[in-house]
Amino acid sequence: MKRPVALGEFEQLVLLAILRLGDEAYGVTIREEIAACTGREPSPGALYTTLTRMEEKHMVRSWLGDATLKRGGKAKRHVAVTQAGRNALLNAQRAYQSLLQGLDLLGGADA
Amino acid sequence: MLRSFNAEWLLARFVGHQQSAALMGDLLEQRTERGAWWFWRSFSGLLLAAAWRPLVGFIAAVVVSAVASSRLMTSTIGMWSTAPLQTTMFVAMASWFVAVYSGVRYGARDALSQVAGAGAMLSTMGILLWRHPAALLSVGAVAIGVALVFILLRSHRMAMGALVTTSVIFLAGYALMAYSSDVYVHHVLRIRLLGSAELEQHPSIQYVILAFLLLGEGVTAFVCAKLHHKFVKRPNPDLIMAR
Repeated sequence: MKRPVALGEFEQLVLLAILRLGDEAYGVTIREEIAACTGREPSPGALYTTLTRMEEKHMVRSWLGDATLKRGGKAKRHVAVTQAGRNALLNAQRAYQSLLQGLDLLGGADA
Repeated sequence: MLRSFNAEWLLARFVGHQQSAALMGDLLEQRTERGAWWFWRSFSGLLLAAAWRPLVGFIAAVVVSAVASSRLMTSTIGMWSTAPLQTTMFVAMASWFVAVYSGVRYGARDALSQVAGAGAMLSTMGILLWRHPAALLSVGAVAIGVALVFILLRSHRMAMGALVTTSVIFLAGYALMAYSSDVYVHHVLRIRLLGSAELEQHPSIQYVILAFLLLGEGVTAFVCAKLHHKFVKRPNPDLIMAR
């Protein structure tokens, strides 16, 4: 049986942000989405490293989009999650869900 | 002052032109609201993230190949006139250089790292066992077996081609370094004999030899990265389907 690909916490955040953004996912919007949802804004360097690594693992794919004047006439690099990325994310989330079962962290007195 | 155009050019040395333009576009898009300090701080972070592996890989490759060649030369004193041994020595030096550079830059799972690593180990073993024909034959048989396995795997087959080409560039760089250094020594000393007294009298000779050596190795690393990008990098199955 093939071992599922392990995902780090930041990789999961990036994949979830890309899925939430859909066709609008590129460097700036991904960082803004993560900042809006978690309160922590990743640095462009950290995001670049993670996206490159995940593209090499075929979890995301990218393509060049339109250029705008605001961007100095430079094209956006759009990103989308592949089926392999979805599967890896699903596996990671399932692992979290099974570990959370019975703990009642979200709705308990300690929440 | 470093302008954004120069910054994009610098970043492109490590991530390619398209990626560099897209990354600089992301920074420029937010520069108006976040300011120049944020822009240059983010650019520095991006440059560091993109450049550390190639730079550390290059430095490690230079050091490891130098140490390996020095150790191997010491262990084969008196046998240097043998042409097959000299060839194996160059193969070992080139393989160690590529194995370390590729290992740091692309990781141990990369096909080029694995092929170059196997080449480095086998050629080193061959040199160390040069005086023992039976053991040397066994290493040769293992090398043929490993080469056949690599030929059957597409990515490793391409990596073997990349390693052979890079090794030829490495050898050419080494030969050019030796020739250029010889010309410089003759220019400075008017003789071709070089000992510790001459080096003490003209320390520039050491710097010139080192500069030519680093230039040759820099070209080797550049060619290695280009060949890896063109032939060894695994294609994304999603992109193949999209075509």
